[in-house]
Amino acid sequence: MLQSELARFKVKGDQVIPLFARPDDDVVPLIISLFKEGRKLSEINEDIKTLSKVYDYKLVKGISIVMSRLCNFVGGDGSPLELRRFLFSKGPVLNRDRREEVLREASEKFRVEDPLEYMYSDMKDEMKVSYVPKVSAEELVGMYNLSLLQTMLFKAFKMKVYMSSRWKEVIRLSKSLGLMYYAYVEPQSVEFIGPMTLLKLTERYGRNLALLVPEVVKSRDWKIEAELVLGKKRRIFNLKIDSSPLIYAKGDEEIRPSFDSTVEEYFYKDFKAVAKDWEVVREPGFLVVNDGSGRVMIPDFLVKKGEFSVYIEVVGFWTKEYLEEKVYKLKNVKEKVLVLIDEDLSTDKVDLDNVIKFRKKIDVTKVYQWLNKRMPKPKLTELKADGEYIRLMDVAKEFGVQVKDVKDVVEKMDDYVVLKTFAVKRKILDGMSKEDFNGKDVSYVKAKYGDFVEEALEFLGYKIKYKDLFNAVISR
Amino acid sequence: MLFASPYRLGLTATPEREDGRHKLLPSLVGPVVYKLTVDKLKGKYVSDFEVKRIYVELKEDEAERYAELRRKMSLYLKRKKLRLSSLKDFKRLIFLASREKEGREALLAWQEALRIAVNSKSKIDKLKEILSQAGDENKVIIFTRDTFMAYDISKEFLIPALTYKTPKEEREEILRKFKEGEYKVIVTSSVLDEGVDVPDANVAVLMAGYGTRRQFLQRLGRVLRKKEGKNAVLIELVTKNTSDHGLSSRRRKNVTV
Repeated sequence: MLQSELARFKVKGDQVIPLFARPDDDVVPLIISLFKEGRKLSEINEDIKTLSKVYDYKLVKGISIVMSRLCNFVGGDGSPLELRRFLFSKGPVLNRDRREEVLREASEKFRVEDPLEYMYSDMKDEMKVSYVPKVSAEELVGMYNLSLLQTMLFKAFKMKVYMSSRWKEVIRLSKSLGLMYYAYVEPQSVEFIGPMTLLKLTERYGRNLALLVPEVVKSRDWKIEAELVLGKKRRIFNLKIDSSPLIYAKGDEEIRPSFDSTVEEYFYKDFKAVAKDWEVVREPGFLVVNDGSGRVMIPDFLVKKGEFSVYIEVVGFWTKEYLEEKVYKLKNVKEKVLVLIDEDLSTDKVDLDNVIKFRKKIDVTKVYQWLNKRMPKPKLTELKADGEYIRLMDVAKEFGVQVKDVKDVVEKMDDYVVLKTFAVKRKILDGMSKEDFNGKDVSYVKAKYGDFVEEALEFLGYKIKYKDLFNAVISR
Repeated sequence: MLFASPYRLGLTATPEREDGRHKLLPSLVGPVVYKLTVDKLKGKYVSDFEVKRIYVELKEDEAERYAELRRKMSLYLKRKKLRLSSLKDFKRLIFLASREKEGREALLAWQEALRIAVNSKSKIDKLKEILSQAGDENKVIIFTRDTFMAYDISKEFLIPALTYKTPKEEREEILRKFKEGEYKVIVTSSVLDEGVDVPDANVAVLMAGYGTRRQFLQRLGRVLRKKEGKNAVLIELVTKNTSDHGLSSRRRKNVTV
């Protein structure tokens, strides 16, 4: 990335054409030769100034910036300011011997070999090149051209990329950069919302979009189509670029997203800890949107409990329109999708059913509650009864139905007999009918068979007489 | 043009601008109605002052290199029928430099030659003499054309340098100490030319500068603050037989001092 003033392009109708550098441009080796180990930045800058009078200023400056990023510089340790104060307190020194004496004193006091060398070492200009990598004109030009492309795309209103390979890598990176995108399978492409559509966070978002470009150009064949907003009148121009050997495609540039993707990391861990009854799958693949657009959704997680599963997508930067579009898409996806959004990554406000908001960290319990609320109740027909007796009320609760409905179902089961609030295995009831309970204490029988005995005894024709609150006697 | 104020009066110490836009002044504020040269103010409104010019010669090695560079440049200019007497000619040279290698070399030669002329080592030797004459009673500001020379002088005489690269706090510290008299001599590039409130000084040494009246007067103004019994001196160092000479006369053209 370069400052936008350094972008080189020409305009033809409504097309904008970046002016890429070529490896055979005379100025390229000249610039490379300026960066030598031990040279001061000020010396280099002075030469750059001269070169930029002769060659295109933007080109010279741009290539120099790219070149200087490849080099290391040293200087500025310790306290040269203190040394200066000391030296100036002795000045002006006009006598050679006196000068030597002052410098020797300074050298001892500040433990530096050459005080004059050290004197202004904290100035950026005084920093010296400590390392220059071997770089060919082709490579440098390629890196410059990549930077130029990134700089141009910083002004994008929207950008669509097509690629023959690395589609998944591009999507993975755009997710971790928090970019707003629409992915298509056929042909493999991704459409991005550009920084110029945002009212705020434009800078941050633009930087992240630029970081994606090296990943795109790594594909064998790629194409970028973008709409750029340029000039004072903010007119929209089209930019079309095909894969070109002029653009550096190795891209070992370290990518540091300013969007925090550890949010997902924490969510994964927290969710596993809180929702132990749920299974979590990361990067579960893409979902096809059946609205004829050819779009796909790429959620971050799939959570499952039994037959029930929900996809979860954590959205980075967002706008209201983007979310509404996403939620609209959800209607055309078979699978259930929950969208999580960071309130700090937009200035808009939303309140949507499939969207949970968070700040900095996702509240896992909110997600857990959301999931449980939407977890469908199993159908009564799927009820598989076992055990000696069933408390009808409990089953009704579990299935979310009326007790009456449960009764209807259980009555159809041959091995159960439905009582008032219980259903009991026929076998048990048969066994009880062979026993004589007359005169026995209810609590004694209850302890032997279970809570249902009162209903069962009445069913078998016994009567229960209460002696007091706790004791009852069975009689025929 | 539409103005908020229907009547306007302009007042300036330095009507001439480097960007040439002083040509707009008559249409903005009307013609010159009153003109006063700085020598008329002497002793009454500004302190008594005197402008001295000291000529130096290039060192032997400098002279050799200078002659070589100038030869190279003249040859090219002759071929292209250029005289470098106007900004237009100069722009033409820059244009040619972007077109052909010889042009670039000529331009670089011109630049290096100029640097040798304005920053001659002889000027540093002369400065040493001036500083030892100035002694402890005088406060001296040394002006340079570029920051390189400012830092060279700073290192040579162990005096504070003030340039656009000096951090704000350090700049304030240096100016404060200069005002209080702890520092007697400071060296600066063009950062003190305008705008900054510089403490009083009575000797200005112009090591090198541009060929503009504006810069010259601004620098002179730095030593003119009126003070009882003060005698200000501006010393201009000029390298003989070089383009530095031309710069010196250009900056003093039409200035009565």
